[in-house]
Amino acid sequence: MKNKEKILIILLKKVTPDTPNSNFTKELMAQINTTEELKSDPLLTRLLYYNEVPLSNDFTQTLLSKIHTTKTKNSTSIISEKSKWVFAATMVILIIASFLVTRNPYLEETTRNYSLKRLLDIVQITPQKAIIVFVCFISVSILLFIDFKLKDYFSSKWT
Amino acid sequence: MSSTEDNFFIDRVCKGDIDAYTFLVNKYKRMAYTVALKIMRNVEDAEDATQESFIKAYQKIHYFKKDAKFSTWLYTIVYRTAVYNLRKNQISTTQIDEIITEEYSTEDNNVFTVAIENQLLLEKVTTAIHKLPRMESLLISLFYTNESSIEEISIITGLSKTNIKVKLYRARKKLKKLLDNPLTETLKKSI
Repeated sequence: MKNKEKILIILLKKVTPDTPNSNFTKELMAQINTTEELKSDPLLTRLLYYNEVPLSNDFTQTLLSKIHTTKTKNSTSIISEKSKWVFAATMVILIIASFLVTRNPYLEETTRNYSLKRLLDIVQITPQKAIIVFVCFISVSILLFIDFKLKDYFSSKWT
Repeated sequence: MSSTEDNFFIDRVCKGDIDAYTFLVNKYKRMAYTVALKIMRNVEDAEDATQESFIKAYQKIHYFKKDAKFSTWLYTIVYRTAVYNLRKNQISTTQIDEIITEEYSTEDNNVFTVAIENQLLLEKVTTAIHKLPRMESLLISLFYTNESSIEEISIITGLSKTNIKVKLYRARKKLKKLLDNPLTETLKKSI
């Protein structure tokens, strides 16, 4: 019985290890070489091992501020820039027109005291409706002012 | 001597000489593959695990401490990779209870050396080893084929020394049963 055991042990020692396929070393070394080549490319290294690339301390802060800037750039005013200019131009034209009217010698007496009335006549608005027009102008002016102030406030906060 | 040679090539690999790694691959690929095959029980999976282990070893070779044997370190990686891959493939592994038995002497005996020069018999032994449970098959390969010490096997597998001895004892017992007829015949021839 003991002899059987001895034979078995000798046999076990004689058994050769298993063998992988003949291209094993070649394939493995090719894979390692590819890995090494990838490592030598800094961009690919960053992509493959991005966790190992240290981030700057203010990364989050910089990123958030950039996001806020983008937000600011995307925000638009309630009243468009074009409308503002149209409104301003209309106001200027009306004011200049009212002065031109006062320089007319035939109308000088009447327009000296009633320049606003003359102006209203030119634009064909009755004095009763003038107060409505006046309130409209004031409202639009207030809106423009608020729009300007809000825009100014948010742009200074996010940048 | 072998360890010094390994260390020479390891140093070269650490210095960036990839070709030096070929020497280490060629030297240890068979046993590394054997370890993986004993666990995976599938040629393709075993090769994948072996390849993966060699790449892992290459990537971590700077961490290898030269006071240990490179083979032990490598086989530990192979064993863990194979076990991990096996679990990933949801294949159950056998659990063996710990039993304390006496250490078995593996002294060689030249009396029977002539009788075992039979290739057919060796093939039968190889087949019998493959029939053993995964861990027992691996331990037999490491202990007898690779001649690793119990301590080295303990490092590789993470099993206690006592457990390794128990499993080796059980494995031999099973092999004796599986190879009863061929062993009897060999014994008759040798006497």
